[in-house]
Formats: sequence, C-alpha cells, structure tokens
Amino acid sequence: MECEEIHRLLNAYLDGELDQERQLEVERHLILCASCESLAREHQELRAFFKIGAIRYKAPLQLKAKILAAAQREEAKQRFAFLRQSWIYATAVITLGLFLALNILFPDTQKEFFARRLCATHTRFPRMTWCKLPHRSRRS
Amino acid sequence: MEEKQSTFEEFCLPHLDAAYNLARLLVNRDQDAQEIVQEAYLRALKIFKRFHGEDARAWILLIVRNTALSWLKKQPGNAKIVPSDKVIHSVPLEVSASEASYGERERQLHEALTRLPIEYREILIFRDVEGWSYKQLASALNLASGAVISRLSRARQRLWEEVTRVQDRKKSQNGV
Repeated sequence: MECEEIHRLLNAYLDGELDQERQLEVERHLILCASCESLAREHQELRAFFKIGAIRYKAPLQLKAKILAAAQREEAKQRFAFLRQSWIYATAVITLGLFLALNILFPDTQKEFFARRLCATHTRFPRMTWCKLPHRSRRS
Repeated sequence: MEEKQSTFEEFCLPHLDAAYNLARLLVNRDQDAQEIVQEAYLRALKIFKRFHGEDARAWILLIVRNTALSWLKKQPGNAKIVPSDKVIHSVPLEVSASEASYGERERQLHEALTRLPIEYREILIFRDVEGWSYKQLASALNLASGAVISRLSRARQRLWEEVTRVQDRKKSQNGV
C-alpha cells in the first residue's frame, strides 16, 4: 500500500471500520513508515482532545409540550379529514338536486299515490310472515 | 388514532434530546432547531404507520436531518459542499491541555463545526455523536462504502483546519 492510500484509509482504520485484511495492511505500513505513523498518532491525539461527541445540547423543556400540542392538533385534523374531500359535497349536492327535481316533477297527488303503494308493500310483508307461522305458536 | 399517537410518543419522544442536538448542530440556532424538530416530529407522526419498529432513534434522526436539509435549502447562502480530493495532511494544531480549558475546547470545536459544509457536518455528527457504523452511514446517507470513507476523511481534515483557524483568530484577538 502506498502512503497516499494510507492517508485515505487512516480515519477508517482508526475507527476500526476496515475489513481485517486492509486493517492489517495499514497496520503493517504504519510499522514501516515513520511519516504515516506520526500522522496516525497526530490524528489520534486530535480525536482524543477534540471530542465532537462531547457537544450535547438538551432539548428545551417547552419543546416537548409544543410537540405534544401540535400532535393533538394534527390528530384532530386527521379525524375530520374526510370533510375536506370534495366527493362528499358533490354527493350532497346531487342528492339535494334529485330531491328538488322529484318535488317539481311529481305533484302532491302522485306523491300520495306512491306513498300509499310504498306503505302497502311494506305492511304486506309482515302479515305474510305471520301467516306462515306454525299453528302452535299462533295459539300461544 | 389515540393508540397510534401514544405508541408514537413512546417510540419517538425518548429521542427528543438527540433530535434537538442534531438539529442544533446542523442549523446552529436554538429557535430554528426547535422549529425543525417540531416539524420533523409532525412529519414522523404522519408517516408513523410506515414505521415497523426498527431503530426508532435512527428513524427519527433521519427525518430531522431531512427536515433540516429542506430548511437549509430555503435559507439564502446555505453551506454547500466544497469538493476536495486533498488527502489528509498534517495540521499544525496546538494540542495542549493548558491552552484551552474543556469548555473552551468545546466552543472552538462547535464553532469550527458550524463552518463546515452541511454534508461534512452531518456525517461527523452521525459518526462521532451518534456512533453510527460506516455501514449505517452508507445506507442512511445513500453513499457507497468508499464514499463514506472519503467523505469522513475530508470532513475531519476540514474540521481540523477550521479549528486551527478559530484558534488563530482567538489568539490574534487576544493580541498573542
């Protein structure tokens, strides 16, 4: 391995992220090359001195409350999300239109006729069911 | 829905500090970081049904990172990556405990970090703060493993250069 390649792999080597073969190659090179070995040592010192991991900010207390409030608002929004769908309004308009159209097209007398027929068909059905009931249960 | 929200809270709220820390290191200002985290958590809630209970911390952090990147794109003069094929050279940093106290060191490092292009900043945070493996970095940042090695290498190199600049500036301000 050339020094240039070692420079490229030095961070991964120090992080222990190279495969075993390359890790050994870098190690061997560092034993033989004083300049690369000194560079590796310098990197190690820098890492030990400047630890990025030491920078830790804690979330402000009010942030959690803000997130919970926003999540609740979002939940409410999602619960009524169906109201924002245009097909609901389209269906409502069509139903209303049909109702009005029926009112205009069929006068009151015809409506009464239809209502009577509707009642007749609906009241006939339970009577028929009663007729089919067995004799014993009718007596009781 | 309420059950979904409570599961969401259970999975994601314990990582709020890590999420805020990431946002704060990416965008540098407290108020901006708070807004980003809040937006990221709402995004996460919306797509929570797609979360299958893997690593919740990594999942939420990636959402925070993506939200921060979108936010930075909208900002004028955001930090862009400066491609460099330079290999690592020795950086003349004065590493002596007597020169910089622990708090001072942290400040210098943070200042240097905020001067880096965002691509370098994020990879350093994920590696050094969150301790992600190169494999995780490659998958999360959508990079080939070789690209992770090079980007991290360049990021560290730039970081040491920036730390030197910060130290030099401080020295000249103190009239040393």
